[in-house]
Amino acid sequence: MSEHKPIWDYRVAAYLFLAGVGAGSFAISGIYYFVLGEMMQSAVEIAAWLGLLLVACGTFLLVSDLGQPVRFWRVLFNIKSSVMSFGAWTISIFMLLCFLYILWGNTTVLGLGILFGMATAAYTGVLLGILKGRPFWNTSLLPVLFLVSAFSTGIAAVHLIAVSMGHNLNAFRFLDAGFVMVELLLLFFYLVIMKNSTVEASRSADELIKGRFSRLFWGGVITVGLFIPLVLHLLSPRISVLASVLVLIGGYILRYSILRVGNRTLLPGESFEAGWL
Amino acid sequence: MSQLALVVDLKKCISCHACTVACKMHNGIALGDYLVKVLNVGPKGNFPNISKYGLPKSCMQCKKPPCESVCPAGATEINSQGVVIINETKCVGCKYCMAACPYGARIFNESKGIVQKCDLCASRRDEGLEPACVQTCLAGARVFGDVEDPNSDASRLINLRQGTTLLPHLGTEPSVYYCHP
Repeated sequence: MSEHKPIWDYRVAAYLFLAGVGAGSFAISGIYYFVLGEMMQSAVEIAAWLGLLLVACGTFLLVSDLGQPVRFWRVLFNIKSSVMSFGAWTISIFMLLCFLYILWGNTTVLGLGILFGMATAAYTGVLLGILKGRPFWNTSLLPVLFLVSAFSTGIAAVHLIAVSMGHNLNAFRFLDAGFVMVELLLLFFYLVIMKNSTVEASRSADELIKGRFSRLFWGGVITVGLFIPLVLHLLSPRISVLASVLVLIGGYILRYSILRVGNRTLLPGESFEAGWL
Repeated sequence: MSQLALVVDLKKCISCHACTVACKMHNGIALGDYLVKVLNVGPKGNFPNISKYGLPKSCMQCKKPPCESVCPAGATEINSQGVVIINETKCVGCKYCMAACPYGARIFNESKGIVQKCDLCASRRDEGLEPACVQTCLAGARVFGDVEDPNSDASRLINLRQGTTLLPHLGTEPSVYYCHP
């Protein structure tokens, strides 16, 4: 019974997503600032707020998922061996850097923010990636996929806020379209590699391709989250706001569906269960 | 160093699930959760070479436990007897260890808000008793002892029957051994 209940639910998926969007938005806006200069100033200012608030919301959700929420500070104390401890420090430093950037607007802080933003976004994939007993997650492709998705959803979030504030950030639609294409490619390779990996990894991939989570995957992740936004972005700047909304929805569903199909290696006598073993 | 663990003789196990029940009663395990579970393997093979047996599964008391290394709060430790234990005052209930354990040996105790695992019945051992699953096993399939003491019954059984561990390729170095039929 409870063995087949997922260990982590929608709150952890939402945390993986929000940490990605927040960290990704600050990191990518910061990179564009250094490449394109002053025209990205407003984007970076929006992204600093997004980074602080979204990552804080995600962290709050994660803490609420703990069995002992009041002991949350203890997660900082096993940094020598626990990836989660390392991540807790990374996220804390990232939020501090966002806060400092909002206060001072310093470029050194921005540079560090890019570094810690990318680390935060990738960490959400490393968290699952190091679990060698769960073959579908146990790949270095996962942090890369989550990082690209974080850049893409981060751009989408900055784009939405910028448009609602009356800024013109039309250039963002082509940048996001690029990331969406890379993400489609990465997802394809990820599934191909998993299909040819262990029995469990292959079955997990099948759950997304044709199993219990196939509607969510093909409908939510591929169609709504990637394919339609790609077309909308390339078609017209007027509807690219809609594309950004869809990219964000797809980003969450991506985290949720990957979280749900990560079965562990089967023992003799065990059979694959949809949901978690 | 000693290493307390179980050796399970699969030739003797009759899949009666008494170990599961005894464990649940002694440790007060919630409905639907298990620290000890008997898996049904087979029937497999081709007639007349068919095999079917029960595989009692619990914490493997790994020497390199993934549950310990992933714990952000340092709440899981290996004690001087080689038993993997949870410090209940340190556990934050993040369930990362449950995701990391390749054997599905850990459960979440909803009422306490922390993770729970097999400690080979520490409270019973303090009174000089064997773990509940061992004492109750009517077939005598479970042998409890120090698998690093070459003279223990557990070690002798491992050597005699060439006991093996589960999922050795994951590098967790389990201490629980299985003697195949």
